[in-house]
Amino acid sequence: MNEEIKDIAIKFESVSKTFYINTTPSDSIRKKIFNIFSRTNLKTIYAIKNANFTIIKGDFVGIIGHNGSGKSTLLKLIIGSIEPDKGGQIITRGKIIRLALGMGFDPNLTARDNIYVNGSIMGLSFKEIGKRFDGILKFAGLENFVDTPIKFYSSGMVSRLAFSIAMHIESEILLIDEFFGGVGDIDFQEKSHKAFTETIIKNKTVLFVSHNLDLIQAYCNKVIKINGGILEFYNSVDESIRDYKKVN
Amino acid sequence: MFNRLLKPIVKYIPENNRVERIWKLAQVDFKSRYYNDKLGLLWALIKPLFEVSVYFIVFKLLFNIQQENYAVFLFSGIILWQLFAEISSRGMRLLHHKLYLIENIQLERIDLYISFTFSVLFGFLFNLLALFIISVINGTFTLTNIIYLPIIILTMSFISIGFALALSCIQPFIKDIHHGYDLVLMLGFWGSGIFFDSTLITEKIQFIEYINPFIGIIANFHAVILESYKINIPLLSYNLLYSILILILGLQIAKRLGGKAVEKL
Repeated sequence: MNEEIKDIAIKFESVSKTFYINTTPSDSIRKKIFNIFSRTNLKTIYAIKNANFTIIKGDFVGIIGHNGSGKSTLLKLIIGSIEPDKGGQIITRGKIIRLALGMGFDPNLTARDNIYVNGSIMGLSFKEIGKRFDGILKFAGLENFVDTPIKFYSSGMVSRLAFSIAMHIESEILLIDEFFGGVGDIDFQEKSHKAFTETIIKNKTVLFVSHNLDLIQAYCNKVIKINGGILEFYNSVDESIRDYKKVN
Repeated sequence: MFNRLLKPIVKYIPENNRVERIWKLAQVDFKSRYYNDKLGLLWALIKPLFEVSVYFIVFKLLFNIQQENYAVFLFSGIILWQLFAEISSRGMRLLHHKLYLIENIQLERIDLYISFTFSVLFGFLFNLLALFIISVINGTFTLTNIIYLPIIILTMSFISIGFALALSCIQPFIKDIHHGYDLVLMLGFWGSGIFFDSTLITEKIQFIEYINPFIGIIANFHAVILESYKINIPLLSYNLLYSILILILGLQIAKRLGGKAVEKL
């Protein structure tokens, strides 16, 4: 294996994603029977069109585009919750976690259980989670709410917990979906900003979806611009932002 | 209390991430099911006991059915059937319930099904313990065929996971499939020898036990619990193979439709 292949974190080869939306939905037994001989009206949506790009380990890639341009579909393809169309290939190396509001939490479970569920899915043993457990709660400032179901948390508390888990549970690839900034109160924002730059993104491959171009400029070394499912990969952040502003 | 009860078992779980993950997912599923209620785990026992009481009154006292140790016979059939019904019907919505994990963390979807099955099995084992206690009180407790019990549970689990896999991947495309499936469950409930000796069915409809695997599974479970019934080893083996086939079929459906099903949710 040559050096170039070894350093790949994410690779898309001819990846397309097409959604077929039935304009006359037949998602019940009755409709399936009644529509058996009628023509189905399928609306085709090309969410991602023939994407080809390579992200190297340690890259901080900004993803910009309008609402509905295909950003979330791209993240879902990377995390594997949806599959690409036939013929496309996605290679990912390393554990992936998506940092978004309410990420991976069951609202009926306590912080303790959610930490253990997220940690074990991310590949940590119970022993390793146990070692990090107090740190997660302390950073999130939730020591007194450890056995309270998440559904009783405020949205700020949920965000703090999500942030703290992402900080303490190591993943090689981090997908940040409109999450950065505005997490918790002012004190926590300062603390989290420091942790974000010094711990969370350190030695990680980050894909960062945001409409905030200042943040993209501050952190990213590469950018993927998405417009109507067409991806453009930029090695220059300034150039990508210039192009993005031009279109808008 | 649940954590305290399970502590001795947790100690013996090998330090393997996948095993721990499945264990944790099973544990939280079980807790969220029973621990939001004051009666907790007792609900797992109350439901089948209530059903047994009703059917006992109807069949034994009103219709005077001629079946030895009818309460134990009924209870054993009902708890085994409930194992299947619960895994398959609740499993139908599994992708929907676990979407918060599927969309945010990279995971093997099959682990969700395995852990869910274990969580239902915890409740079943609790009922099994109650069944043994009732058998002791009733004076019918036997260990003669106990060796076959793991095979019967494994067979039922394979069939249940197979159904859960298939139904959970079909449900997003046919949202009201649960109405149809309720009818299938009802048919199985009344036609699998839970209320009366399965020979009543097999004598009338030849080879039915080779089509409906629950007839053989429940009959063999009765043979484990009650000494007066004989274990049917060829049928036990046939059912195990049958269950493996259903599991493979479920896995194939999940492989083909799983991704698309998640998109539809």
